Amino acid sequence: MPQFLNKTIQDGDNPDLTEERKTGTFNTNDMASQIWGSEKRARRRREISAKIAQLPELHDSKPLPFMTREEKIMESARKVTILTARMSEIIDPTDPAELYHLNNEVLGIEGNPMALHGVMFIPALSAQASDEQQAKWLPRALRREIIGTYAQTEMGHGTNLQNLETTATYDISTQEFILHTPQITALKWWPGNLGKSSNYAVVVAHMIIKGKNYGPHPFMVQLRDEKTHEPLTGITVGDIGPKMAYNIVDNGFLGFNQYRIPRTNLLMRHTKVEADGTYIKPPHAKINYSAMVHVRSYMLTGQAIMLSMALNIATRYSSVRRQGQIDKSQPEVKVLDYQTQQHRLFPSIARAYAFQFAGAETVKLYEHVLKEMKSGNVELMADLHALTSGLKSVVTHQTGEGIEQARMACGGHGYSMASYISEIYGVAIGGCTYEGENMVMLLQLARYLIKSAAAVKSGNISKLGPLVAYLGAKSEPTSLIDRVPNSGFVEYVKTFQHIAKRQTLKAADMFFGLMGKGEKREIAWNKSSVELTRASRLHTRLFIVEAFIRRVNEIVDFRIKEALTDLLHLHVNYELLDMAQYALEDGFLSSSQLDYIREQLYFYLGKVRPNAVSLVDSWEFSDIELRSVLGRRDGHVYPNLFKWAKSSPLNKTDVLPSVTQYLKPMMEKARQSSKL
Amino acid sequence: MLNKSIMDGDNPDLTEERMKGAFDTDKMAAVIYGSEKFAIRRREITESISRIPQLADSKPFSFMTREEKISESCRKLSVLSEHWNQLIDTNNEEEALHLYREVLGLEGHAFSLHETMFIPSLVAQANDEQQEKWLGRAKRREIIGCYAQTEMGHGTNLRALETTATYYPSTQEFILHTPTETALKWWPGALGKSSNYAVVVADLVIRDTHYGAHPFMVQLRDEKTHNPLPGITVGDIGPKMAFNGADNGFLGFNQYKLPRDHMLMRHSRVEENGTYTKPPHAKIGYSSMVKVRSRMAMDQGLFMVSALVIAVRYSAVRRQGFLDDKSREVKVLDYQTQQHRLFPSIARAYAFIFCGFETIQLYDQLLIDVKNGDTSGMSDLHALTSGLKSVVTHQTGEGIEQARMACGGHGYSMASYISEIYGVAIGGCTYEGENMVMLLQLARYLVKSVELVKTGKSKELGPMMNYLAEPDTQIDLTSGPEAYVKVFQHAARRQVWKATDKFHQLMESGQSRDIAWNNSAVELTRASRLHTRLYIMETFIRRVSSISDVSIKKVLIDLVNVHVNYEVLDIGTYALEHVSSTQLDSIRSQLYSSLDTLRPNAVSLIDSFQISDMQLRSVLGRRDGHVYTNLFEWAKASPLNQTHVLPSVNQYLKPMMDKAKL
Repeated sequence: MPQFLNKTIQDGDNPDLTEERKTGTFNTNDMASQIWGSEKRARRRREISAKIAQLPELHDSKPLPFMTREEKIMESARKVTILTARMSEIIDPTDPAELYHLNNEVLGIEGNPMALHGVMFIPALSAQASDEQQAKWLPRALRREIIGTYAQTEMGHGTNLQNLETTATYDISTQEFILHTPQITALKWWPGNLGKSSNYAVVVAHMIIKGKNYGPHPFMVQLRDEKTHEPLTGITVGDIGPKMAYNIVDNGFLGFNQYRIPRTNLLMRHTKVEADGTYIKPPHAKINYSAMVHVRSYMLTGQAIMLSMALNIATRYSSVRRQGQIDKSQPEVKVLDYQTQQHRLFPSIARAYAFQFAGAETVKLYEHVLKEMKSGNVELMADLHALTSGLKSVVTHQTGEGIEQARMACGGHGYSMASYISEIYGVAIGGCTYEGENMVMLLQLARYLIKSAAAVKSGNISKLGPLVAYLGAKSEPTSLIDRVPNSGFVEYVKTFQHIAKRQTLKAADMFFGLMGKGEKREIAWNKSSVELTRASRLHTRLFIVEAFIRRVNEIVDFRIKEALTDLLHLHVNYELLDMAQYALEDGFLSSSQLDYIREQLYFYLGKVRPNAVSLVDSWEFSDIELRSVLGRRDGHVYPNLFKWAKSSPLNKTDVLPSVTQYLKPMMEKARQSSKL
Repeated sequence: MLNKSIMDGDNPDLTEERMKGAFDTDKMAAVIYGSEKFAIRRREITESISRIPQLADSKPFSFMTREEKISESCRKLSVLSEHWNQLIDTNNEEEALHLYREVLGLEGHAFSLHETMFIPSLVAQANDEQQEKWLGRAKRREIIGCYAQTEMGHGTNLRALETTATYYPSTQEFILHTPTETALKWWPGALGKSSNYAVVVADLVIRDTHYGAHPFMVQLRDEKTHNPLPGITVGDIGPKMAFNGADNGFLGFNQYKLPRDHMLMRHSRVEENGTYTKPPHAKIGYSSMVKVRSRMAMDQGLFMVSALVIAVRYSAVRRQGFLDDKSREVKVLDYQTQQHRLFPSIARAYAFIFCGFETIQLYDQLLIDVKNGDTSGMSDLHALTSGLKSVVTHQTGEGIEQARMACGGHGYSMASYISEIYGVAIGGCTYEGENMVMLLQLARYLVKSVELVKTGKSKELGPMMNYLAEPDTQIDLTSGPEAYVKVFQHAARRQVWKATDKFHQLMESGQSRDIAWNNSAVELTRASRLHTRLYIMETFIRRVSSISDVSIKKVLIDLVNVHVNYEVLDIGTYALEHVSSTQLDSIRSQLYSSLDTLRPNAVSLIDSFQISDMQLRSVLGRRDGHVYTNLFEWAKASPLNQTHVLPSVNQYLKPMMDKAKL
């Protein structure tokens, strides 16, 4: 077989898909290195996938959509134990990226019984337990002698930490904390793996000593007997029931009835309670920021991956599905040839790349800021916190939109679980809510933007952080977008900046104006909040565009750069058209410039078309990981769709029990009575 | 009380909202459901159902496997067959639909196609003799049927269907055959397991001539054993995003023989000797699509409302964060962002339902016209419903998801049930004509209309297209909602003309018609959306101005104000040539003040739909507002909590942990 630039091609594939892959202008392995951050990472991903492919006990025993929730959980527990035994054969267990890939391949996106153990429980112990406490618990957790989770959210209280109701009251006489759930709304509610899998949890509760409330603090709590796994006395624990998606995870509820734990189970790295009840404060309060920022930074690439999975399925399927004729003298065309289909998919392909690049940049930024913090510079964390709040919100929203559009682009079959896209959607869209509800997140960023706008208004431009410096820069009266050759996307960036700046300053005017009229700060804020969220979105989208541009500028490989530059052209035109209203309002963009942007958009849809399949192939998701009949690498959709359907649960019998029990007697009775 | 949903013992946070309502919710229900009589009937039916315990869900749907859901709905169908006449007027389609929604819910069931597709296609396409033979049996439910058209490889494009029905004069039989895998019938509801008969659409072939898609009445399963007949391959297509109470199926034929008189022959005929007689006019086939799509606007409106009932009630009960009063957390409904998420969708839901009523009336009128030989209105209505179906399903999906997210974390739980509503509703973007295809069908009509104007034939424009020929006029936004209509007309007109110009220019530059069309397609879909949204807005305003009750009219005008400001702002990019930046700013502030104005009536506006708890199937949306205690009860009853220790823990996780301790 000749060497093709697209490394996905194999003999026997659906020729419609091979044809697409041959039109690709770049090496997909090279693109994978860009996507995954380095040649080594991309290669390791492929090696891990290859190893997993050789271990049948790690494969789904049947398609996940055919399983009940209980079966899925059983299947996942089965795989988790195998992985626990064989982890180090397959990956370097100390590398989180390799572990992430392994989990995605083997366990999938619907969660697993230990989903929180690695990402929340162990990190919480590492960050908040004292050395002594770590020595006691951490090795046990790492060896998986115990399974843990992190329990903070309550039934009645999510975002607002100060309003948690669970209490941990210190009893000096016994040197114990008494954990208690005063009412139903105080039940811990939602923590992953809390319901059935975990026997330990880090529980956040209001600490009360001698009648004084010191606010929320973390406690290490045993929930279940290590031998029997039965809940301990004083503990009410269970699963919160089925969810939109992510149903392998046993999100749980947890209530305490005067449940006693030793004083030393308060996690004491930052705060301490002495035996006599003396409380010692943490050195600086902002430390809790960093865990949130950490999670939100990683969410971006997680979302990018899910978006890209859906696009893999939809783009491949669109080159295999033929429907209707464009030219009536020709046979039915690939649906990917319709402009409407391209417009549904390609801008999302661009966004998936943009999110992946912006995510990688944010993670790097986070690591840099952590270092800065250690040398005492805590200011940067506030900047980054604002940035990641906005990114989390915009990225999850656009990812959800993109996945649903991808699903609909698959027509009827997209709606079948055989596409698996609806499951991807269900999992991804949860991101709009968890780790900070999107509106709340946008308003957190808005606080930062308004502070910056106030600095601009009072002439303190030098105080602006690097991410908001454009708010203080002089802006030109009109855009030159259709007049200046588009090198480096300078005119585009200027337009995005103009838009974000204008909306931020307008929202600030509205807010300060309302206060000027005598509204209280909170009321004025609430009344400006829709406009504030608009400002936050525009600011964030500017950052995403800039991150995409920065990344493409760094690339050396000519073919890769060319393909990504086309994608970037598509991105900037699509995004700008989507928010053009803001620039039309003050005449920064003219209506004829808008027409120019539109035609650029359509031009680049056509330009990206030959690379579309290669652009999604480059993410190198294996069929095992994609779990989609429509998205199969080989493109043999129809015969496999039929096979899939035939093996689905309802087809175990020709006549369903419900027909025998209800419908047949009903019809027979009707026949009898009509004969009478 | 004006709000009729108030009862003793309700969550006071919700009662407080209901006391603020400024209108009688029973009266609003009469407006929503078209007449006082039907609004009353709805309540009566709901009441009667609640007195028959066997019709209640035996446990929450979300706790059931697919098999259990199917069995549950079959059980209820057999109970219903005993109570039918006592519950509803069986000749009244609306009453039947209400009954189905209450008892069977929205996830589909064994009869989901029997009444909406199978019987209507027999009525419309079987001749009198054939109706005599089959219709009575179908209506008495001696047989269960569905309608099988879509194939695995072919949806929208009817001409590409591969299933053949070849006529052999020698035996006077058709032979139905599935030549390839892609020719398998795929997707028809209730085809997989429930139906023993189906109206099957196949390409009619007589002596090697293909006459295109025609309908045939086909027996699939033995009436006694229910086993598939020889030559028939039939089964369920597997689990779906939602609607899993229905057994959407596949169907293949292996040289399956069918008597000649099983072709449905009301419109076209095949004689014994194979002579084919064409239908009198080709557009006849349109009419059932138009009907289904007209209904969809209403059904989608109701899906959206269900989600909004849940989200708005929950938002009045959920407290989070503080505004100025630091002593108590505020209802999340007090946040402007929350209002902005929910209220414009409430307005849309009302608008969609009013549009649904209007298009159904137009359809009924059209049927009369067609009977009198006038088919001229068909294209107009077909174009309108194509656009409407597309815009309404898209915006409904958006609205439902926003409603779900407005419920925060608990929205994601199946206890909210909103994700199920979303899953069912969003299917509407795809079935009955994929949305992009629908928009482009409307676009064809729009382009034709512009061409009429360009060639001086404005007089030939359909009634909904007249604005395309009108000049722009000065806008005074303070003059009321009609000014917003003018803005929308401007935006739609401009985009329709621009897209048409683009299409024409591409042809002039040498592209073939088809290529030019494809290269203009995105701009054309934009034009179709604007045109449709204009229609929705106009219909909403028309309906509201026809109302005489003062307090109802007042609140609906408030709702119209939310609608027109929200919609115009949303299409600002298109409107800005005609609306100044200051005008847009004033629209913004109008929008925010209209949200405020609506706030006290929010709960009453959604209560007015009078969707019972039984139908809503949501813990968060309960009428009484007692969410938290019931959420806990619901969770405790869920399947995973049947045991303290899951089998998967005993089998895998405990041994794993024990091993680690060694």
